[in-house]
Amino acid sequence: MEALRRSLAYRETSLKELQIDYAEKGTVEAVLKTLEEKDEPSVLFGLDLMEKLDPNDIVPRLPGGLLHHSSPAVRARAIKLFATHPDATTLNEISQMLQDENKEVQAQAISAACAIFKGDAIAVVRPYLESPDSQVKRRAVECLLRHGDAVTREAALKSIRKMVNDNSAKGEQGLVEAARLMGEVYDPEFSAHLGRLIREDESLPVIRAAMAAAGMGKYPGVVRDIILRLGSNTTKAAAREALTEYGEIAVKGLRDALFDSRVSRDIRVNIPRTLSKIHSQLAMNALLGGLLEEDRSIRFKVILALEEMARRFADLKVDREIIESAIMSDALLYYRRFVIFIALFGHPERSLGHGESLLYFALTDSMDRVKERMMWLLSLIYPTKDIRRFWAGLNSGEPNKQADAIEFLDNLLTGEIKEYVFPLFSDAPQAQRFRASLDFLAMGTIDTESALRALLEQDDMWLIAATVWEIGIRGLTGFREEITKFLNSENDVLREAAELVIHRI
Amino acid sequence: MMEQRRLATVEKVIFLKSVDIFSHATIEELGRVAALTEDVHFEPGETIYREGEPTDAIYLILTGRVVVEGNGHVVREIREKQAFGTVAALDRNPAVHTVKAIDPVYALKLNAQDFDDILSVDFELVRAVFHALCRIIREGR
Repeated sequence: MEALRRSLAYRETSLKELQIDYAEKGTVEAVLKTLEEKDEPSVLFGLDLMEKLDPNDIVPRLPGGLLHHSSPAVRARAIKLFATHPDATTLNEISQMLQDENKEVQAQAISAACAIFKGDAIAVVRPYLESPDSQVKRRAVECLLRHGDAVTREAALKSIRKMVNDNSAKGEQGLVEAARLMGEVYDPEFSAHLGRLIREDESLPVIRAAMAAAGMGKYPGVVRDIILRLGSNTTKAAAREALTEYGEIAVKGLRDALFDSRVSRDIRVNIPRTLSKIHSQLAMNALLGGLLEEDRSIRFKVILALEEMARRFADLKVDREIIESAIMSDALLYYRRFVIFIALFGHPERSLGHGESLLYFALTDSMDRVKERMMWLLSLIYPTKDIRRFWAGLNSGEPNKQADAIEFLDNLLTGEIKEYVFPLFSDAPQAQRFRASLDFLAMGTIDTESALRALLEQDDMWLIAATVWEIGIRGLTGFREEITKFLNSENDVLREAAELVIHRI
Repeated sequence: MMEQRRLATVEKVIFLKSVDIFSHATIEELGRVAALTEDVHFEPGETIYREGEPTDAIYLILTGRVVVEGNGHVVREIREKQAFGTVAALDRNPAVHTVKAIDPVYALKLNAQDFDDILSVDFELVRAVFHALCRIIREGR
C-alpha cells in the first residue's frame, strides 16, 4: 500500500493504467493519505480516485481542510465531492465558496448548491447570470435550465443567446463555455447555435467545443456540419470523436456524404474510419456499400475500415456475399490489366525498356493494389491470421516460403472464390496464366494495338495519360486521331502529354 | 551550358518513381507530388545547405552530382535519380551534413511544408512512403 501511495504521490503511474480494487480497505486508506499531501497534483490525483468510490463511505472521511486548500482546483474538486453527500458543514462551506474570489471555485460551488438544493437553489444562483466570468455564468445557466420554471428557463436561454452572439475577442471563452453547456443540457434551440458555431466561428477551441457538445447532446441537425469539418486537419480529430459519440444517429449523414461525389474528397476519405468507430450494424452496412466506390483511395480506406471494424466488433455481421462480389469484381479488373500488361510488356523480344515507361508502372501498380485489396477483403471472410500468414509468405522474397504460401492458399480457398482468386497468386508460368486470364475474360487474344485502345477508353485519367505517353515512346502513328482528341482535355496532365506526344508521331 | 528543358508532369512522375522514397507510390499519387515540385539549378561548388542549418525541402537530382560533407570530411556522393534532405525535411531538425554541388546540378525541389500538407490528406501516399522507408531500414541503408 505504501508503494501505491508513493506511486500516486510521485505520479509514477497514471490513473488509467492502475488496476485498483476500489473495495479494498487498504486502497481507500492509501488514497485518503494521499489527500494529506501538500502538492496540488498528488491531491488532485487522489481526488480522481475518490470520485470512483462510494460517496456514502468516503465523503464523511474526507479531510475538511481540502475545502480550504491553497489550490483553487483542489477546492473546486473537493466541493463537488462533498456535495454528493452533504451535511451542515458542507452547506456552510458552499455558502462561503459562492463568494470565493477564484471563479473556478465559485462555479463549482454553484453546481454543488444546485445538485443539493435543486429548485430551491435558484434564488441564490440566479444573480450569477450576470457574472462577467463565463464559467460562473455557464454553471448558473445550467442550474436554471435544469431546475427552473418556464420564466426562469427563458431568462437562462436569453443569457445563452447573449453568450453565443458575443463576437468580441474576449468572447471566445464565453463561446466555449456556452458550447459545453449546450452539450450538457439538451434544448432543441441549441441545435441552430451549435451548427452556426461549427460552420462559421473562426476559433478552433470554439469549433471543437461545439462539435463535442453536439455529439454529447446528440443534436441530429448538426451532423452534416460536423461531417464537413472532417476535411480539415485542425478539426478532423474532434469531428471524428463527436460523430462517434453520436453513434447510429450519425450513420445516415456519413453514408450520404461518403457516396456523394459532390462532397470534397478530403472529407470523404475520412468517413470510412469514422464509420468504423461506430458500433452499429448500420455503420458496417454503410462501409460495405462503400466497396462499390470508384475512387480507389476511398475504396481502400473502406476496406481497411471494414477490417478494423470486424476485428473490434465481433458481434457485427459481415455480409459474405457483398465481400465475395467485391473480390470477384477486383479479380476481373486484375485479369483485364494483366492481359494488357502481357500484351504490351510481357514478351522480352518486344521490351522497350521499362525504366522509362509510365504505363509499365501504372499497370504494375494497379495489379499490386488489386492484390493487396484482395488480401484485406479475404481476411474479412477467412481467418485473418491465415490470410496474413499467406501474405507474409508471398512477400517474403524467399522462393520456398512463396511456394508454401501459394500452396496454403490453394488449400484454404474453396468454390467460386477460389476460381476467381487463386490464379492471381498462382506461380504457374506466365504464358499459362496469360492464356487462363484470356479464357476467364472470354477473349480469344489481344495484341498491342487493341491493348492500347482498351486503355484509352478507361475512366482513369492517369492511365490514359500514361497510355498516350507510351504511344509517343513507341512512335505509333496510327493513334494520331485518338491523341488529337486529348489536346482539348480539361485534365492538365493529359492535355500536356498529348501536346508533347502529337509532335513525336 | 545548355539549359535543362522544363519537364512535363508525366516526365516528373517517371522520375519520381525512380527515387527511393517514392518507389511504392502510384502514378496518381506521384502526379500530386509532381505538381508541388519546382525546378532548381545549382552551379558547381555551390552550397545547397549547411550542417546545423534548418532545411525546408527534399531535393531530387535530375542531372549532376552533389557531395555530402560532415565535419569537413566527404561522407558520400549523391547522383541523379537520388534524393537528399529527406530526413531533415521530414523531422524538421537542422541538417546533419553540408551538401554542395559538384557538377552543374538540375534538381526538383519539394518544399517540406507542401509535402507535409499532401501527406496529411493522402493516406495511400503515406503508406507508400512508409513502405519505402521501412525497406531502406531493413536493407540497412
